[in-house]
Amino acid sequence: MTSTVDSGEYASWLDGLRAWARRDADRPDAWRTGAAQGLLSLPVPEVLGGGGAGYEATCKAMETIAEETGESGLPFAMSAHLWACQEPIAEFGSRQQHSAYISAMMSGELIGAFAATEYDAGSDLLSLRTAAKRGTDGSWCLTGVKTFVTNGPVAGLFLILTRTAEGSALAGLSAFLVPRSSSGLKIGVDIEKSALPGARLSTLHLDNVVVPAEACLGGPGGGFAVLMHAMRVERAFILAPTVGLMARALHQAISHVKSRNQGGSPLAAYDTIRERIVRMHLNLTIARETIYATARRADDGALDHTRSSQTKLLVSREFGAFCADLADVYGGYALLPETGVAQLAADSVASRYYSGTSDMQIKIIAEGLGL
Amino acid sequence: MTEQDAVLTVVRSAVQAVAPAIELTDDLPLIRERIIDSLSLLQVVATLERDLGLHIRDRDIQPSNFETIRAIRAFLASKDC
Repeated sequence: MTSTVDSGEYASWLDGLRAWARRDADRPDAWRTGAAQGLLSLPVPEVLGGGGAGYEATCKAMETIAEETGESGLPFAMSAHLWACQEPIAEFGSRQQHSAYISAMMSGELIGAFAATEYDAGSDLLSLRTAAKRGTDGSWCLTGVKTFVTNGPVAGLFLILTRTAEGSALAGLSAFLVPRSSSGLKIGVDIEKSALPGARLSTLHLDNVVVPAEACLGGPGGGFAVLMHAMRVERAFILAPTVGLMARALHQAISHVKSRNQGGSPLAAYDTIRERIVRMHLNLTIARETIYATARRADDGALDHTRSSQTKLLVSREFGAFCADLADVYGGYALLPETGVAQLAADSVASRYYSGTSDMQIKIIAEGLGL
Repeated sequence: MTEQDAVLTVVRSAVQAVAPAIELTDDLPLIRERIIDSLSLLQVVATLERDLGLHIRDRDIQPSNFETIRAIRAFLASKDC
């Protein structure tokens, strides 16, 4: 798959993906069968064995899965795998690391998880406590606890951000690729949550986990660059599935207001309802056009951090506003699970916090404006 | 003013913008002295990208490339800037 999103070949491939999503996306082997469609190799450069289709094509695929299934968990989990783990390995990995991991990740056999967040650190890089100390033989010993690790319960490979020197976060962070089977690595129980059902979260405990020198991604002291790359891409594209979720919800809301009568007229006849539907359409349009303009910029090699943060902040806000109007369109029915409204609203709340909170995005954007 | 001097001026200006109260010299250790933190480095990178019309890859955001104004200038020179 190397064609652009405008090509007939891509459209045909997307039809196949849509059929897969309807048929197989809720099955336990969805990662493997989805990967067999070429889903997880789409953004990986051809030189590494990937599809080389780029960011826009991958975002469209994630949108399609979400729209077809109405489920946020799988495309969110896959997006975390793609953008926060597979992408940094493709960008920073040595030939040996590429050969050890990229093929297995593209095939869905090996699920990746990025472990950066800690209980007491949040987004403050200087407060990271997970440490890696170098042994005399060049190996590294990792100790600490990570939390909110997306894919933690199912991942076979962890990309772990650690502190390797005191002082500035710019020089003191290093990233390590650690297989699940490593001695001393323990996965915590699933973290229960209200949003993103199907995307599993856990803590990660590192009790003197020894890894060889070759496990360091981006070199000692290169952790900040690895983190920045992961965040630049993840913040730009992690919300692509929400476009599909909003499109599906808008379609269902329109059916609902045309079929449900109130006071002798369908809800669709009331101006207050029509205005809400139009506003939701605008929310969706802004979110979609923002994501794809950002993706095209990234495909041109011109995605900067400010743009990534703007995309994350703007799309999560549109998503939140969409869900507020959606609930008002359904009224009390919004609380019935079969409408999916409350679940979508919970997802919209979550979108303000993962991959850096909205406050963090505002801080980055403000810095970019020279404030 | 030569082209090289113009680039150095952009670098000094980009760093000064994130550290307005600091009297900068070209060899002042920006990272070790915590004059630049992780967020302000992103601002420096954004300013350099905008004002010099170049793209700085994340893999190049290494402490050694941004430790001093002189190091930033040398890094940009390695990028033919």
